[in-house]
Amino acid sequence: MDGKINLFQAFARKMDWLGQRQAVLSQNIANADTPDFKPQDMKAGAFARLLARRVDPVTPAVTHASHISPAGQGDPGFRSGDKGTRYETAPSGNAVVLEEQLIKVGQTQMDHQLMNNLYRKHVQMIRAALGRS
Amino acid sequence: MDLIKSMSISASGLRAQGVRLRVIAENIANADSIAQSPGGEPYRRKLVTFANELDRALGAEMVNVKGITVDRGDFPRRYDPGHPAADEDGYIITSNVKSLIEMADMREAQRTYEANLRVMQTSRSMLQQTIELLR
Repeated sequence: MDGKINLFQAFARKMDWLGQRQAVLSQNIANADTPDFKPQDMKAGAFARLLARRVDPVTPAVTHASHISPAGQGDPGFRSGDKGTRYETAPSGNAVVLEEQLIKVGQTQMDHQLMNNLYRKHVQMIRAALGRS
Repeated sequence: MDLIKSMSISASGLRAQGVRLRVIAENIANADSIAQSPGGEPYRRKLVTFANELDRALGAEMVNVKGITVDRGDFPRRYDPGHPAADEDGYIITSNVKSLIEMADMREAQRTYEANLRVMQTSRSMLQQTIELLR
């Protein structure tokens, strides 16, 4: 499957991303009453960028032993951070809004379910092609 | 494993809110505690402070109880000359617990506890679904 999108790999990446987002959101909710805590979220578009990089990596070729191998070859991983936009900040400095965080948790769960179902369908498709569905 | 990590973070949140609820229960139980003698002090209201703490093994910010402090507010006075702890003017000092504030605090603790529990359920079901893929 050289040069093509490896669908299974993409599903796995996305599920990885969603799992990490779930961890970040549960961190926000656990700290819902901690003074001076600012909620975090996954950086927007991080997954799309990452996928684009995976599918079509444009890197300088190493043709000589003394060439330095190009940077950014390793797994860049996902990043989370402060989004900067907040609904409200309590007098204690805490900026977590429970409703907002719970909606994000719901979205993450639905996306995860979608990925699961797509994965399953893909396996079924391959099984059908193999003739043992 | 991020989903397992997420569940431990939620568990730390549940634990912190549990401690908070315990302190609130202590306050409400002692709301009517008064000084034993004219010079003594009645029950002082207790407060819980939270802090986020980086768990190095997990690489996540867990929530922890930073400390339980006492409320430095003044004690209210009540006129009750027949009371054995009353001073020469006939006043007794009562504890600085206000049940309305404790109730509001309790509701807040309950809400946060519920939210943590819900996140835990969600993480669990996500994990369950992934395991189901093996079938």
